[in-house]
Amino acid sequence: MRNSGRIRLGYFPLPGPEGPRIRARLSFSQLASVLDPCAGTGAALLAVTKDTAVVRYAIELDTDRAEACAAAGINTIHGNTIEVAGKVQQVSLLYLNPPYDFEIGASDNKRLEQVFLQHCYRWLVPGGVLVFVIPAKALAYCSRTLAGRFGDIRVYQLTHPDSVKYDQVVLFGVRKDQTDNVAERSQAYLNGLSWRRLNIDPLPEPDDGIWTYAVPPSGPATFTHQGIDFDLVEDLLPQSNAWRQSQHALLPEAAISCGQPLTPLHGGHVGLLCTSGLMNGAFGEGEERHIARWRTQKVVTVINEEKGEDGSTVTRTIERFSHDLALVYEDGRVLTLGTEAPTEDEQEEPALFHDEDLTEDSQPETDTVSFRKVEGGLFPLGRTVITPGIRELALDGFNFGPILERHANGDWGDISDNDIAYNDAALDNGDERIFSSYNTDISPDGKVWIITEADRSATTVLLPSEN
Amino acid sequence: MGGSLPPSFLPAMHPTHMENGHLHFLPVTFYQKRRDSSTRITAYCDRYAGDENKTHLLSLTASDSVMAAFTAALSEDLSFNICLPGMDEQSISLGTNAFTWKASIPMPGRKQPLRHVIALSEELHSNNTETGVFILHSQNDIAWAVLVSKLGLPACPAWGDYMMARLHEEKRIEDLTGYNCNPVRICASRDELLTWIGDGVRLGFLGLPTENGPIQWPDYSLRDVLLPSAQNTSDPEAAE
Repeated sequence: MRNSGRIRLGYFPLPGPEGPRIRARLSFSQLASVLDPCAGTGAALLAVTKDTAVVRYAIELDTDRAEACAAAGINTIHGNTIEVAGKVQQVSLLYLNPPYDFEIGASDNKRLEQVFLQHCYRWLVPGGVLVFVIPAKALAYCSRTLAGRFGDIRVYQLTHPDSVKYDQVVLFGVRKDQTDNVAERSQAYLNGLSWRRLNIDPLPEPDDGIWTYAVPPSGPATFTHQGIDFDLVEDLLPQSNAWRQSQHALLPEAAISCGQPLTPLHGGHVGLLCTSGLMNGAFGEGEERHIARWRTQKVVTVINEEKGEDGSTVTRTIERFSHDLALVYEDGRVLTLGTEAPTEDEQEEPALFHDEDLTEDSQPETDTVSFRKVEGGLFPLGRTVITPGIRELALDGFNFGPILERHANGDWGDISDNDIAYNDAALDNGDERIFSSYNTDISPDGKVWIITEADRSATTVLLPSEN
Repeated sequence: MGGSLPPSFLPAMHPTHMENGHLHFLPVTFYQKRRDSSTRITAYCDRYAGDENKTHLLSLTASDSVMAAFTAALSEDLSFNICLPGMDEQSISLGTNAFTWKASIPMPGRKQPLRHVIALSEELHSNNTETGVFILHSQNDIAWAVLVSKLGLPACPAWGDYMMARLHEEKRIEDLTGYNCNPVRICASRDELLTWIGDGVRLGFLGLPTENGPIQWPDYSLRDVLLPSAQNTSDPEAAE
């Protein structure tokens, strides 16, 4: 159900013109108690019991509607029907138009039509009449109870435009426990109606006196609102899952590691433990003795880009996690180590090369590195990899981004005419390797090569001596 | 309706022991009038924290249908009415992007469980330096532990009294309105706190642990923060 419907407590009152049509299908001969457990303002109950000598009872959750109901002369309980208790077999007519929704628990949520029916049907005297106004699709959820506990069931479509909007049907039934065989057939019939395998006829007009349900007599009824046991609720609330789920915002986070590792820690392991806050504590000796504390922070960068002539703005939000370290020394010095959030300019022109990819801990033959996309390149570069020789150069400050761009844009660098012709042909045919060479003093070989594979799946930056 | 409620409407008391639990819950009402209908419903609040402008924490209990309406209203940023002890009835709202968590409370003798909802404002949910750090219990050791955890400060549990006094001196602790809790908001940046920690260590008020290794902080639970009842409210009149 949408929020607006839930805020109304799932209140979909019976449209006014439908009341007299339902009333015409009921006949009252003696004093009887009638109940509407979801009464609203009581208008529907008054309409379906118009001109009868009955004692009307109502239950309503909403304060204003409960007041209106009581003001209309109906014995009204202001509260939740599920919290109302009463003896079985008290009322002759149960007019039930429950909320059209599911429960809101974490799991196993039932339709409220089913919940309300199961709670209320026992209040009907044997032979008592049920008038049940629900959406057609909810019939299937209630079919088991209806088929097992009621006989002489008839279902009709309500035809007022508001009823059509919610696909409301009205079900009439007489309270009588059914045998298994009958209940099974009846349940199949109701499911067929709910799933629209069977047609549902419109409710006959009031002057069409083909049939009526006789409402049996009954004495005064007694209902009690049980309310909430606040003492018990108070004891149970601290164990609520809702508190547990929200405690990360309310309590300090416990993050500590104790004990000795089974094997000596690798440098990378130590780094991971530090940045995850598991190696906070006091360290060092003498003047350098200190307390260290790491934390992880989410950094959000918002970039507004103006696009097009219409002045429209595109907002991009970039989220990343960063780690920082704070130290306080024995002599009162305080140090922090961390990364600043990237500025807007930096976000627009991200570094071609990410230093964090160049750790000393692992030395594979080639490394995959991240580059910004080369705009307007003549061919796809695929996965870009560097060799150990280029890694060493990069650690010394060599930026191979510019030559990679030249390569992607068809500037093959310092290669022979034959190689240029070869590259041009490869570019046209798309099925040969593309090779570039760039002279640079920083390379021990005096040049750096770039090779894009024939299938364009990868581009390798390498030293000639590593070929 | 209206006027005094008949006896059957009063909350049932616990059959074996009287704790006056009903005195520890505040009714929170929601009212909305629309063109074709109106809604007026009540849920029960056991914890509340807020400032003049906004509610930051609301813990509500009610039946399924009522709570469905309240959570829908929370997600639509609609306001509720509450009458806190010693104060006039006021309209409260958690603002946009409030976070809610729902739970069921099975009640012996009831077919349907009660529903419990915790709603946190966006500020309390993020709980960082930009909006201040919200703490539900102003006791020094708990407040200091939360502050250190949220801001990532190199610190010891024993420094709580000194640092909280310093924060009071610097007028960085703002008392919030609370019900069944003593909420405060600490508005100090991490850099400021590091400076004050450095000062404290340099001047000898704060000492580093005698031994190297991890610093053991007390393990606080929700029960430490959510101590039951009236003794634990920030409202001075109620406390009296």
